[in-house]
Amino acid sequence: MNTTIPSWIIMNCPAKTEGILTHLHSFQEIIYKQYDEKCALRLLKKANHIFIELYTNGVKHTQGAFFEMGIRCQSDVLEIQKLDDGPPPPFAMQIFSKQTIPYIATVYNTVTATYSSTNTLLFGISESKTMEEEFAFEHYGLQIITLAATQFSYTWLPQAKLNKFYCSVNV
Amino acid sequence: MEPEANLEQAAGFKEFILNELTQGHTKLVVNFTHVVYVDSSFLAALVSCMKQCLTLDAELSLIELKEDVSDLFKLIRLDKVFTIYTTAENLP
Repeated sequence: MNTTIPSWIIMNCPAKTEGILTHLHSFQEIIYKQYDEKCALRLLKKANHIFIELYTNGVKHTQGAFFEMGIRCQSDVLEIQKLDDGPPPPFAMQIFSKQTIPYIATVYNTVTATYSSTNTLLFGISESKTMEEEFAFEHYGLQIITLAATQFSYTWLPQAKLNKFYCSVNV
Repeated sequence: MEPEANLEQAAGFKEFILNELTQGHTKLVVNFTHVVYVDSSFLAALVSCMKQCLTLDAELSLIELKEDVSDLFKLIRLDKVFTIYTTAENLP
């Protein structure tokens, strides 16, 4: 790795699908610039999927014309986050209100979302293979990111009225 | 197929496949040669089409997946759900 970048690299992204490939290429260039080629290739195997899913989630849920993607490249961890001004996801509000109820979220792998701290959920993979769980629904985006990321969380920022999805991938 | 298989194309793709099934076609092949990425909305459309194929005893196969796209199918185990061939020549 060339240098450690302590601050976030911010991309202001238009809430349109037309911008996805351009921003994906910019994201890949950042990764190749910050990590050696072998490491970048390994990271992008997972990070490409995370970036695309966070981006398309922003396109779908942002109310304004733009949303924000952030990238921070550290020597031991790559962090990717997305901020948008859409309404908070209904499942998140449901969990925040009950605080301890896990949320089962998909089919072929089972993704759980559990209350972590104030206004924050942590996503994880459950060993349970049942598809009959209460609250089960199909959400491939959550599934992809949870499986690709080392850590994946959602935070509702009430004062700014922003959704923050945060992912890290170990280098 | 367009290079970007995303939420913008998902509904149209699903409509196209369902229309083919309505017309009585029972062997459908989706060629991903030009597709550089697939998002979750498009995957949901693909799975929905697959479910419809199963009810009609039709076959839906995927061919020519690029490495990144193939990795995505493996990541969420959809490679176990779809019949995937590397090239058209491998089709039965």
